[in-house]
Amino acid sequence: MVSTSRPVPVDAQGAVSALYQQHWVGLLRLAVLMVDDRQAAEDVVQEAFAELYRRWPLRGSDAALAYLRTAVVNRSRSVLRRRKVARLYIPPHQAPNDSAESDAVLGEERSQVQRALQALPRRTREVLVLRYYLDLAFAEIAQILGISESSARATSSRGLAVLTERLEELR
Amino acid sequence: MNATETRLRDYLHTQAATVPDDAHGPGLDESGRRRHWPVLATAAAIAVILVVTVTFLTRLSPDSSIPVPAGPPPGPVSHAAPEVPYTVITGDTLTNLHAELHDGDRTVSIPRGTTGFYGRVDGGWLGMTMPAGGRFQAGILYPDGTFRTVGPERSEGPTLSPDRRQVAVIHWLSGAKGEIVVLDVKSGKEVSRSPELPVRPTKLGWNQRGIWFRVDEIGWPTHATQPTQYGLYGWRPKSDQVTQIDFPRYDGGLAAPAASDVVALTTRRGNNRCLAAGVLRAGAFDEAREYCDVAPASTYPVMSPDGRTVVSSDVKLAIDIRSGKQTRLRLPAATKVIAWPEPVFENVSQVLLVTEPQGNNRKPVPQQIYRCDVRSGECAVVLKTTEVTLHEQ
Repeated sequence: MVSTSRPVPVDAQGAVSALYQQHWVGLLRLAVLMVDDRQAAEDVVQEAFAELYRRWPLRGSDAALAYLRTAVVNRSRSVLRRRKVARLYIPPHQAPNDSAESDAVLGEERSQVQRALQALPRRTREVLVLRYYLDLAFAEIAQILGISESSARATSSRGLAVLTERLEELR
Repeated sequence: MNATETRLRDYLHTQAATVPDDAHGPGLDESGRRRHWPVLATAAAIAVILVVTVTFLTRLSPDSSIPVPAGPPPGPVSHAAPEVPYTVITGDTLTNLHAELHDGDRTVSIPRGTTGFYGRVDGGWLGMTMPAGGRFQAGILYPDGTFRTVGPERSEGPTLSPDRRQVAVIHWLSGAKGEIVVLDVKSGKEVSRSPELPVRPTKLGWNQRGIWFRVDEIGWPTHATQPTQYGLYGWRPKSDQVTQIDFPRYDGGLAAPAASDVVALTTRRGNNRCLAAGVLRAGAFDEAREYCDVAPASTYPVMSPDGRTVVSSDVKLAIDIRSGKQTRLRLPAATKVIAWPEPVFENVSQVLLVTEPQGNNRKPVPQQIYRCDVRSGECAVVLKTTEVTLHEQ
């Protein structure tokens, strides 16, 4: 619950607005890769900025982007979990974007990758997206996901192997 | 870099590029503007504004129409199978899910893209279909696995009328606008349509007094230090008047049992989350009972079909609305009741709840369905399973 008593620093809105301008598109792209749906991704990013705003200021000026990425990953995870368990009910704005139109845009080769990626366990998918989209070091991935660096490295390696198998099956 | 890495990187960047460089977000104050829509909408769609006077905690209306407790004394609680439909999901990834709907001796494999389930109707179950392409529409799943759509596309939140002959849906219009459309179940024909609403509802309830609905008015970050605000409204089908029920403590939860005119709402008092029950009387929400807990994890209104009992699942408690009597549901202390999806009443005195172990780390999570008698608090295990969801009758 949002506290009604916690004061928000006077410069919070300006600082968060600047981050919003700078990182909204990048974070939206990250969220799209996590949840496969633009509208749900926008909600995830909006909530991440709301959370940042409430917690502002963070320790260290470089902490904001890492914080936002973590928030996006965590909230994407919530979206996926809700899809899976909440009455089997996917609110329309969170419906997976696996349409024929999407296939047409992506092409068959990429659609195969999309399907193979969707079939991976959530954590593996998160590691691969952070590694191969954001090109993050395993130490940074570990920090965002709250796991050890060795675990991030092993998950990436195993995930890539499984992805290779799945892609071969889809051929 | 091997071929898989190349393909993966190519896919990720292509998919990410569906968000163009010049895309921009709704901004930091967009939601702050949205929250004021009821004021702006007054002239257009809201005909009557009711101001509700709310008293504090467990007030009993002197002439309340809440049903008087009646019926035989509680007997032993049965271990028999649930009397309401339920679904069980198997599979552990987004693309490997399988779901079956169980109802008595009937089991139906749920077609991919079919979700929800909001009550038995027309020999089947009211639900939603969400095929690819962002489409969504209400409909009925039949025992043979077929699905008949009902109402316009881009509609959600199907809710049955008290006599189960009609269904109301939230129809998405352009932007954030919406409307409520009422349809005849048998023919699928439209019966009534609400005035256009500036912001579409997010939850419906339909009882003897008509259709109740919630609108989410979100206020961040310019209002980030305030809790999210919800609006509560009422509409009678075939009427051109939508009624705003000005209830500042309303916190979004809504249950409107079909056989009653009582509704249960969630409210807040500081850090406390509360359940309030009452009726709409002489143009005002007449609160009969409010029960509050200190900062529970969640609170959803779960009300018996006769509007007599409300259950606070988070604290495993049943509250008789008329007398205020509280009955502790005797569930094992080491279990956690799943608050959402909500528990479901089988009849006026027995409620089904899904539980799972506290602090569980096993996958899939072992779950149990308990049947509890809200008069005695006695509970019995009905089913042991995983990933189960109870549905309305």
